[in-house]
This record gives sequence, structure tokens and C-alpha cells, in this order.
Amino acid sequence: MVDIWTATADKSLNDPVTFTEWNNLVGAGGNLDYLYNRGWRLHGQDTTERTSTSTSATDLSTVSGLSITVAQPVLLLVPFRKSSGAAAAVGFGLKVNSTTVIEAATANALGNSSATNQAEDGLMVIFITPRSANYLTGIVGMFSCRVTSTGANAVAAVLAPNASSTFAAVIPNATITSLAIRGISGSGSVTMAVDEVSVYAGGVTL
Amino acid sequence: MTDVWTAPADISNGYVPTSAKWSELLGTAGNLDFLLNRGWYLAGADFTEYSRLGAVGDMSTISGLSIPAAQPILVVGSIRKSPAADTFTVGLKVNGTTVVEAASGTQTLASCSATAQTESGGFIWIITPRLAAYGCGIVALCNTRESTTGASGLATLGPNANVWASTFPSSDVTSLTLRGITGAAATGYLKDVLVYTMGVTL
Repeated sequence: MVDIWTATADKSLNDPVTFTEWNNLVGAGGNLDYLYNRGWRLHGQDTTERTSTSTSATDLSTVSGLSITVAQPVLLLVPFRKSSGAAAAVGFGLKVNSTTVIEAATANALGNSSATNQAEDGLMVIFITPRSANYLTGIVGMFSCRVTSTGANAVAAVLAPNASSTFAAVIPNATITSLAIRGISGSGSVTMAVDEVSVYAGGVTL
Repeated sequence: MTDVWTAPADISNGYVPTSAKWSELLGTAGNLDFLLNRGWYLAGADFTEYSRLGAVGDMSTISGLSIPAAQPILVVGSIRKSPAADTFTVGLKVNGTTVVEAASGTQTLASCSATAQTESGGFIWIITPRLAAYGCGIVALCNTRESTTGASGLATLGPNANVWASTFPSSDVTSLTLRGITGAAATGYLKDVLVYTMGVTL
């Protein structure tokens, strides 16, 4: 990390701050710029648990007010769960702005539970790579799902979306202003939920 | 973020910081240190699109890096291929050492399928600290899809044993080179390679 300006060694007690020093700290090309332009930062979150028993795909959690440029990679962390109640799976998809990119399905989606009648929970880790013409399918994710009461394996770690899943559409080639996690339950007696959805984006300016 | 210093409430126009306050902002264990030492930061980027047809060769090189062995690295990038029944795969050279070779097959570090269709997708690689006896730490996730609909494609977790060429050098990482190969029927493309380092000092 060689580009960060540090105070000169001869700065002594109550030395006034020069314009150059302030600029090095907070000006264009200064330290704050360096950190702001290069870092991964939290851009949005939904800390409320969103639940549904819908047996058709529906928006569960929406993180809006985003302004993530096409050049920026995105990381989503999405804890999820399902209740017992019936022998049915739940599954999750992703909407970018108003476009459903990966539809929620009870198998082969971005995250899934098993169909066993038991409470389960897990985590989806989803990366979206930079978007540009000819490069609008870059979603890489993985998830695992466990039996809530024991931690036993419900669905082993899966690379998602896998080959048999189907994108509903390619990712919009536009600034991302909202991301929604969609969900579907295989039974009206099984509650699906996501909570603490966090959206991070990476800096892309050197 | 409880460890970051904030300006005192009595700060007023014309406030002249003491050396102690300067130190809290900029010194060892100060605010900048806190952010720099713990964050994930962009260390290098290459937004150019490169193409490859046929035999293995270097594509994108990100040089001028200075990443100590203790720092994890995150690499993000995009690939695509032209619509022929041919794979496109990506490997990695660290400094001058080819660690994972681009080779025909589908479980290198990033791959397009052999299906005769235009494909695109993205990959992420996490490289763990390169320490003695820990020179194999890389995990690669890649997903490529038919480019216009996002339909059938390939999801891969790599690398597999057959494409491993060498362990990671234990010296500072000064350059990363992404290599590519196709079977000479399809053209492979690579673009938007971003290299981030992860902080390791509390």
C-alpha cells in the first residue's frame, strides 16, 4: 500500500495544517479517495427477516437505493431458512433492477433447501462480475443448507446456478439500483425466509 | 467500527490539530492504518479485452503488484467464447511461474463449455496466503452461460489435479498473468480482471 500519504515527520505540536496536507487527506487523489475508490464497501442491506409461504415465485427481500456502476463487482450474502410443515423444498432467485435474472425454483436455483419435512437453514454467497456488452451472464454463487437443529447436511455445498438451472434473462447492462431476492416454497405449509441480506461492491479505480 | 477516532465535539473553525490528533488520523494504529490494514482493496486492474485462438498463451497481465505472502487475494473477471463446439479455459501465472495451466477440459480456473453456442460468464478466485507448505491455496468458481438468454452452460469448481503446474511462489506477488487456450475452433475472450487484496493486520 504505497500510495497513501502520511504526515511529514517534522509535524509537531499545534503545527497548522497546510492546504496541501488537507488535500492529501481529503482531496482528489488523496487518502480518502484512495480508500473510497479501491475498497469493497457495504452498499445496502435488509436486516429484516422476510418470510413467505408463496408457492409461486415472489420478491422476498429488496435492497433498493443502490448505485453500483456496471464496472463494479458485487457480493451478496444471503442467509436463508425454511420451516418444517410439509415434505417440500424452497428455493431462491435474483432480480436485478426490474429484471428477474434467475427465477426462484425449488431445485437448481441460487439457493435451495432439501424437500425433507424439517427446519433447515443455510447461506448463499453470490458474486456478480462486471457487466458490459457480451458479458451479461456473470453470476457465480455457492450455497449450503443444514438441518437447523443439528447442523447435519441437508443440501451439500453446491456451485450455483448449476447447469440445469435456467436464467430468466441476462443481467441488465445498467447501473444497479436495486437487488431483490426472490423465493418460492414447494408447499403453502412451509415458510421460507431470508434475513440480514447484505450487498457489497468493489472499487474499480486505481 | 469502534476503533476509529472521531473529531472531538469542540472542534471549531480554525481548529489546529495537535500531533496526537494527527497521529490518531494518520499514525501507526490511526484511522488510516485501521482502514488500510483491515480492508479489501483494489491492487490492480485490467479492463482490456483479450482474445485467444488455439494454443496456450498469456492473455492479461497485471503487473506492478506488491502483495506480501500473508495477504489473501481475490481475483474477479469475465470470459466469453465464440459459437463453436470447443472449450475455452483459463490458467494462471504468478510472477514468472505458471501455477495452473490453461488446458483443454472444463475444470481449470475458468471455463466455457464445448457446446456450439456463444457463451459468457464470470469467475472469482480466492488465493489464500502463500506460506511454506501452503503453496496450493486457490479456489476457483466459474459460471458461463449462453450469452443472449443465460440458458445452458457450465458451472465449475476448480482447479482439478490435472491442470496444476506448480505451487505458488512464496515471495511477494508482483504480477498475475491469466493464460488461455482453445481447441482452435472457438475464440476465447477475457476482460475486466480485478485483483483485490484482503487486510491481515488487526
